Amino acid sequence: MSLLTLDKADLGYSSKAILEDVNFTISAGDFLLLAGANGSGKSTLLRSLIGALPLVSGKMSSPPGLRIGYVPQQLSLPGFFPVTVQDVVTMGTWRRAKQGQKPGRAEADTALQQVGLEKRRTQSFAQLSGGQKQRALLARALVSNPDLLILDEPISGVDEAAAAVILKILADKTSAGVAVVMVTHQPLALAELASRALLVHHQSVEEIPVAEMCSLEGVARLWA
Amino acid sequence: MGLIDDFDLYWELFATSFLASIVVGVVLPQVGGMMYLRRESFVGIAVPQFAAAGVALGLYALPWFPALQDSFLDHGHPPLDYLLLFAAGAACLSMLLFSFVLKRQRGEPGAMLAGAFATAAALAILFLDGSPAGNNLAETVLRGAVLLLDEHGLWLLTGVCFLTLAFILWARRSLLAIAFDRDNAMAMRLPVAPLELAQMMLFGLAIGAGVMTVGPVLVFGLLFLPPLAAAAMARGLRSFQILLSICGFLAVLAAWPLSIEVDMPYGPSAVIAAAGLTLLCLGLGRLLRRV
Repeated sequence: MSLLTLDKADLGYSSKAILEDVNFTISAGDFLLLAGANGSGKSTLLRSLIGALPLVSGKMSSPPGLRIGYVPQQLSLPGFFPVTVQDVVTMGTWRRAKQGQKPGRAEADTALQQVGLEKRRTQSFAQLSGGQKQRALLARALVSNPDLLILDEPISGVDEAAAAVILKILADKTSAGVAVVMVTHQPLALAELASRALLVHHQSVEEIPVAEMCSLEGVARLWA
Repeated sequence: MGLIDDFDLYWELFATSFLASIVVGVVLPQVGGMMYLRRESFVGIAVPQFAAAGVALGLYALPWFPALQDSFLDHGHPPLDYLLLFAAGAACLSMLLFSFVLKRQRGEPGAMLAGAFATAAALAILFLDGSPAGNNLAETVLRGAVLLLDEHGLWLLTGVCFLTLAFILWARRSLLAIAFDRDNAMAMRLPVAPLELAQMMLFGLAIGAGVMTVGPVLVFGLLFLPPLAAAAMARGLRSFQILLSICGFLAVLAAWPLSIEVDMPYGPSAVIAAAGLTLLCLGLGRLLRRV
């Protein structure tokens, strides 16, 4: 089932296109790797997919009620926010909870268990390590019960154990029919998980074979 | 004559002002708290100054509205509804302008806001200078004549603050989600743009009403100090928001005996009380974290 389609889309800020003529479709169960050199436009593409940036031109279509779970780079979040880990995860249920209705604490606890942070639920989010923050943000995305998960470098700067937890959850989700779009600078580590690969370069987005991206030659091309 | 001994007399004299101080003490820290969470406290430095310039412009333009001016000359009370339009209009306009400029990220934001602050301060002085209402009255209004506030002013302030607080409570979750991670709020399909616009308008209105009734000094103090105190003590978002209003309430309450017993102007007394409370909370917060 097709979840999101970009058709002849120019993506960028205001009227300035950073990426031109972008065409691809994300279907249920896809595990889509997104790679490109720094400044190539990966974040622009990601922000357009979640609806934070309007398209410069072209069309993006998705079925009504599509639920998107988003995991940003944890460095982009404020460090001083007086928020507990449980508060952060519960935010993922706020769209569904009606005003006056208690947000899903039970769902948040389940998601925290999934990512192995159940003992840290009352701890300040700011006090978590980088890997723990990333797992908490993944838990926030999971409680929204998403059809499409979009992750911005979720395993960068994360220790191997935390990265393994994150990748295992993502593999389980794709098996259950959730689509995953993941920006990464480490494609070699994801060869077994990915089903498709998109290379962002030269102001465009090109679909290439996963084997090509997840090889040493692919990585060399990525940084060229 | 002590505050306790002559409480009835003081109450009769200052009941309106006392209630106004409680209203701003509870509500303005909530406005400042949201600005703090959105990393926009620095915008809050310039907005009250623009509201003050709006009040000055209103006084400058009073002769263009003869009916209002006649009523003002007859009764001696500044036309509050009219001035609120100018104060809130200037505050809202400045917030919209800052939002537009900061989103485009051209230039250094701190320098731009400092420049805007200086411009607004200069405009306020120029308008006051040309105001036929007289410099003394204009300055009294701008300093925040909370002690001179009449019942109409209290109702106006309460109405605006109630509206602002009701909005913050109604949209609490969405506003917090946007403040924490705007992109995720967009991914969650929250109505980010309309909420931000409503927030800007209501915050501008509340800051404008505050500047006009209790003065920019107290507005500055209540916008910036309680969030620092609450953040030092809070363990989560709920406790942060509760502590905001408690800190503001305690500061405006503590300022009354200070102001009356030591004969100090009320607004600065409340800010000093808030600063003392903030220092106490910062110390206590550090202690609590060690425990």
